[in-house]
Amino acid sequence: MKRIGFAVSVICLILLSTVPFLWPLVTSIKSEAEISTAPPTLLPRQLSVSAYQEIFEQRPFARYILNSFIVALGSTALAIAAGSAAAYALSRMRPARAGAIEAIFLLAGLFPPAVLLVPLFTAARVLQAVDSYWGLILAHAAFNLPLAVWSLASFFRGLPRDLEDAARIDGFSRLQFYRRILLPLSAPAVAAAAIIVFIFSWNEFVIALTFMQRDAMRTVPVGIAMLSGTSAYEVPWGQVSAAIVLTTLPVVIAVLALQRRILGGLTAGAVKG
Amino acid sequence: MTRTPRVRPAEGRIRRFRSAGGWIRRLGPAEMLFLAPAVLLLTAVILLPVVLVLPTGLRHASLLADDPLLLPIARNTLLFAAASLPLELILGTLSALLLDRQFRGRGVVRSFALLPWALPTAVMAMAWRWIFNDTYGMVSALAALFGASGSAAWLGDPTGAFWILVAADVWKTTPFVTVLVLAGLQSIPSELHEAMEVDGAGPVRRFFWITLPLLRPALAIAIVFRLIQALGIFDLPWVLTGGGPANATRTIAIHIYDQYFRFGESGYGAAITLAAAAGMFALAGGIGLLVRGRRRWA
Amino acid sequence: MAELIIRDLIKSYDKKRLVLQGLNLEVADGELLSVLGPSGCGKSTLLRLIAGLDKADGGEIRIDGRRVNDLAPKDRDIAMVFQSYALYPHMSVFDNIAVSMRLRRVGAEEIRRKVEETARRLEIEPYLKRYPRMLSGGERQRVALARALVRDPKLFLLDEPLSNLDALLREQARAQLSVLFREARATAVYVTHDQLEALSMSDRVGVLNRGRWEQIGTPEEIYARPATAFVAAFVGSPRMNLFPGSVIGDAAPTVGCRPEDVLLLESGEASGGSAAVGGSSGGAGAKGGRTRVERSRRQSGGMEVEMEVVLREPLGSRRLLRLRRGDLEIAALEEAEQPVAGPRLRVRFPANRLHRFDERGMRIPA
Repeated sequence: MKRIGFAVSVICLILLSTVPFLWPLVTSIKSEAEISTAPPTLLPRQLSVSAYQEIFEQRPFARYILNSFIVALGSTALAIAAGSAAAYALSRMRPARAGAIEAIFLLAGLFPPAVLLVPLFTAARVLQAVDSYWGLILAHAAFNLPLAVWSLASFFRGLPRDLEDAARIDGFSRLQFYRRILLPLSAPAVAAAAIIVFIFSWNEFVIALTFMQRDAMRTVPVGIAMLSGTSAYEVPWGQVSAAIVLTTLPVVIAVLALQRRILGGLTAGAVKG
Repeated sequence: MTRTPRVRPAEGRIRRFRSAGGWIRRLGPAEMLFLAPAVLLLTAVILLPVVLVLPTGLRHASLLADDPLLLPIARNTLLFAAASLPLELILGTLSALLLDRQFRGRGVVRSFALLPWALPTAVMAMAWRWIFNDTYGMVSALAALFGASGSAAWLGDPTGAFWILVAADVWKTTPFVTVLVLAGLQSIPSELHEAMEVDGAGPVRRFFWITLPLLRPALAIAIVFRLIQALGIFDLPWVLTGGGPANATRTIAIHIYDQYFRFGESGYGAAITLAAAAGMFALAGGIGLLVRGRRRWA
Repeated sequence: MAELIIRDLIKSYDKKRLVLQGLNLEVADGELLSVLGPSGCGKSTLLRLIAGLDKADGGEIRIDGRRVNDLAPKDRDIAMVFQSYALYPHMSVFDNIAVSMRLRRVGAEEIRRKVEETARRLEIEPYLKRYPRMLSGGERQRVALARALVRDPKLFLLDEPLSNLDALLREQARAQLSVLFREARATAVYVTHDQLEALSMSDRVGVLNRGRWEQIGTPEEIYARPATAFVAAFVGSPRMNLFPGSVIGDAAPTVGCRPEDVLLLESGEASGGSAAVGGSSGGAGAKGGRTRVERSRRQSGGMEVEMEVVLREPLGSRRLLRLRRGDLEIAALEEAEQPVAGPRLRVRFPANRLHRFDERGMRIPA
């Protein structure tokens, strides 16, 4: 009895998690005509990849993907570089001091970017960072930094102090220890943090919406949300569905492959009971 | 590979920092260097802009009272948070309990559970919009299957839109709670459960007497984070409904966006920003402390 | 209090290897039995099966005559002390001890009375309001004990309860535990890898190795008449010397002699000479040597081998000598006050202190 209940729960969990994008998936392989029939069909009667073609031909979807990549890679690199250095410093400080600084970082990270739109955009406009990559990269890096710091500081604390003492006696300077010993040793944790930061940057919407105003500079989430049809009311749902699938499928695969890493990175900085 | 170790003249350098203030004295120069990039980044991107906008916001603070939409929108936002949070906490905890057990394929199931959180909110908002499209959406397709008339204005109705928003948010954020609670569960030694099992408690009792109390720190963190995020939510409602029929899904963040970008009210936008930020933190911080309780034991 | 009977107990975790290979055991009412063995021998598994935390794959467990195989731990009327104490960190000491009674809905007044009484017996009354993290290791251990004692169960199960204490505390705790269990006339199964603990506290000891009993007997039997070479080597510190019988011309495949039983004589001296010293705990004073010489005469009849001293380790009032000859290495004890001089010594293994084992490691009776 308990076994059945358990299995049913697990199946429910899987279904609930995947249902919302089964519909776009199904839609993306339907023909345009079939999409706009009412009542709509659950499964396509006829398969068609026209939606996928259109999304690349009629929209700069490839460009959106490129933009997202550049921004995500850039902000991840920046966030991890600054974050791991800060995490290292925090892990070697006295707990009281470290705690205070970490709390401040956390506070900064808690701010939903949407609420801080006004200050952010004002600064971006002043610095002429609108419609440029580096503005968005800096913003994303800043908002993802606290998470990276949190996760990595906790991991670094778990490493034995003796290692560093031995290295210092051997003649390594702090910087050398950090670069040549600590980081290579922490590669899995750093990778996990990097994956999480990348995902956050890729998914970010509000700042990308306001910072990138030219269509050619838009990131994928903004690009998809702004897809409009020939008339003001018409949304090209076929193309939107194709875009959704193209955007989510890689993430699905990545999560399935890297699930343990991601969970590890998230829980490294989490509750210590 | 031996090198002569460099002796750091710690005394000399630290003395130089002494004048800069009490606590800086205790940080060696090396730590400062390592912290610098992060601190710089956060200051430049978040702190400075906020500080620069502060005077403008304060100057226009009086406009807050003149805005007829402010209170209803604030109330809406709070309602939204009040509806989403409990659902996320319950579902997240249940998922975590499920995923804490050892079973074949646990990794795969965990990935599925993690998925909603890893997907872009805005993109999924489009998906939800398509699912609940009045005539051509998935709900219509399902309804047709059961013989009912499929066309209904799901998102066109204020109550419908509100609850669809809640459902979409719960779907997206439950994994976050699941992950936090999972971590918390794993920090509870199984021997505690065994000891209470021997003492005479069944699984339900053990959940309420051991699991839940020891999960309080994890839940507190989840609540604080989620509350602030829920109060500041933008992506989902904006893409889903643009603010909803009759402002049903217009959140504070959307209001700020509207004021600043659509109406060009930069001063007023700044004012709402400050008020919203302050209010959010006060609320979330207060509730978080409450849930955490006095930590006497850990 | 009740008796515990185990018949043909079998347990396997991966369906390939048997962790417990059909164990039989009887613990009488009021008896404290230690399960002694190296790590991985299955002793913790055995305890968990008795407790009901895991299910047996075969065999039967009876507590107080009742078959408990299918009963949940809470229905078996047992109490368990965990190696890590498993104190509930979010409850006060009082609440920790009171949990089992609260679960059975005992009245508040009675709970208070019993908790205070038990706390008094274990000398933890001043800590009742504190939380586990504020207590030292020894205090936590006593709280864990109190939690078990207050239940007055049919059977006590203890899983290496002293292994997390430092040496000094362990000694004190050992003594206290002995007294407590004797007073309570408790039936207890006590798992440990420390043979000193097992020998000093128990009514009987069961030596477990790879899921099978090597021997079950009183501490005296285990020590003086080990049933197998494994038991002989495991019990006794320093470890018993075990070597092929051929070295001393004995027919047995394996013979053993405890370091404290080995006789050391200076080389070149006739046996029985005034320089003969060594052997079991000695006499005193200058004349002690003579007494020992006489004793050594009485104990003679064993074989003698000349060996080279490799190491002398001071152990307080005694010294441990390691001797070697070819492939053979022997440990022996001598009194620090009366050492035997010389780089080479004659080593004698008295016949009545020699243990003999056949090719399967089983004891060959004298």
